Amino acid sequence: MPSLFLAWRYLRARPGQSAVMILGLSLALYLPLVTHRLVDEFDRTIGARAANTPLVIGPKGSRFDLALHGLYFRARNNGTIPYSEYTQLVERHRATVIPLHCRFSAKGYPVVGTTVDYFHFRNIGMQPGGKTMRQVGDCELGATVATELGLGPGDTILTDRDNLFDLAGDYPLQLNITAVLASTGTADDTAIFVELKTAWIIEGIGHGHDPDLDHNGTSPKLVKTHLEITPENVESFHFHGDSASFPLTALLARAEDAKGQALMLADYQDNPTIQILKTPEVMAELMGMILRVRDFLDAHHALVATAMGALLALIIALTRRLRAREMKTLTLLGCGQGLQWSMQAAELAIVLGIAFLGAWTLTALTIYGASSFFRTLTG
Amino acid sequence: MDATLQAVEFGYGDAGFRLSIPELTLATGSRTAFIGPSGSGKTTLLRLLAGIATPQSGTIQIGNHALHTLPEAGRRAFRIQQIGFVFQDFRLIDYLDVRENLRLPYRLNKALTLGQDVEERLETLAETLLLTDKLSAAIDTLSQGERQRVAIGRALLPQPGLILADEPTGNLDPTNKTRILDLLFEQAEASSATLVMVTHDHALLDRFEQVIDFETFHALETADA
Repeated sequence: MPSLFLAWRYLRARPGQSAVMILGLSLALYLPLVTHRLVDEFDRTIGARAANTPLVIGPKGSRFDLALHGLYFRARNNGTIPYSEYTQLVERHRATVIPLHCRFSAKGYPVVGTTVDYFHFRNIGMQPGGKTMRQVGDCELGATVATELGLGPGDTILTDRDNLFDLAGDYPLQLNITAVLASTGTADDTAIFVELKTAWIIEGIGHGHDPDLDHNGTSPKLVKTHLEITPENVESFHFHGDSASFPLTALLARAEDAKGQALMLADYQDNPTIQILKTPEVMAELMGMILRVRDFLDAHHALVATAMGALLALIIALTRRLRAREMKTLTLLGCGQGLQWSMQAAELAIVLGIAFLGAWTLTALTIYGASSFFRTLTG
Repeated sequence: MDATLQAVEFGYGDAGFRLSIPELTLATGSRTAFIGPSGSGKTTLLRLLAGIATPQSGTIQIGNHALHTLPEAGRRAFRIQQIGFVFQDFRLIDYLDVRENLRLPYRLNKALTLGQDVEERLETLAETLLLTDKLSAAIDTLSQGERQRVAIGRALLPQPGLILADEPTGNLDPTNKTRILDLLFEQAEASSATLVMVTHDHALLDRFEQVIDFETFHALETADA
């Protein structure tokens, strides 16, 4: 392949010029490539999680906020629903129902109050050396949280204070890490799981204090509250009020069959304060918006591609003019026009090939970097 | 390889340059110089002999090839196999090193095949042209004399029957001029090739057997040839 050989030698002899062309083309190819790959990856990620979580129940308000909260523990949600909603749902329907309480964080990671059923619901295992959380104050870390914070079973982690200036508000609680969950490549990797009671204690609904102090005649704010739950003080923790009214931020549900799902949907059809969402539909709607943005970007990429194409044509034309003498020499020596054109075509093919490889590598690196972003997209 | 031109007419446009050659014969292994003022048709005749240009009428016979009857592709194949063209301005390819410039004709046309025999000949030729230690050098690192030697090497490597040199010493100092001329004559003689050279340097003419003056266009036989 003399044309390929001569083209390669030409490009190699002009590293600066070749590098600029390759860089320009790489970026022009990278933009549409990465947009499509990101959208596809996003679609795949959210589609899979939504499919595994057919129904989300929560307070009325933004459907997207509730769906993202239920699936990804996004802090922003529409409010709370009472715990009684969970118990009633379990009684009324043959379905797997998972309560969620997610209003707080520890070191920036969402603290998710739930039951151990959640791990079965998501089919999440535990890394070796871990033990299931057994008492209030225990927690299990998502794989990414454990890696990024360098924590494991036996360590502790302090929850974040919701508002530093609210002295009457919630207090940080030291959580005892009992296990690290196996990596799943989902939002579960970047969450900290506690029992519902622990979440309620963080919220201030339950607390523990010295036995010699009680609430009789004493302001609760003067009571010396524990910030750490230990085997010695765990018995002192208690809740005030009716547990039926304790808050949940969402319920995840999976009916046993289509009929069961239809009945659950009907249950909330006219509910004035609670909504039920078919998450695949909501996420598809969200995806539809993203696809419209992608289409909009595609139109721009087409313009960029046209501009790049025109620029490339100009470069080729100028190069041919600059190389007219060289081409003339080749003709004088006995080279046909075909080989001369194929030399230039080979140059273009090499530049485009390397540019595509560069764009593909950049895209792969972006997707790799973005995968953790997708997991925490909603954090 | 001998060459015979009969009643050759060539011109650019109706009122432009015209070249008319009633008859011209170049014997095998002969050394011929073309002299004359600029624009008198010396280079045009070289182009006709190389098959780069074709006559409007007349015949050009080179060896067994009736050049005027060959199509473009045939003339290209003939040129790369049978003609060694040496240019005044060298016309080397700057992005190829010396070795690749020498090999270049073999890359350009399937009529030539790059084999072990060619590689061996290349090494010998490089040694003769004092280029052995320059084979991997970039063209822009060479002196003028070295560049012209590379150009001669490129023309000679395919062992052409006819060497056409268009003022090959025009850009060289006297020392290099003599050396290049010696090399050309030696190599032409060694391969029994016919040598045609365009030159303005009348001091060189006594080295040629035949001198064609384009001003009057008639062949002059040198005294000692």
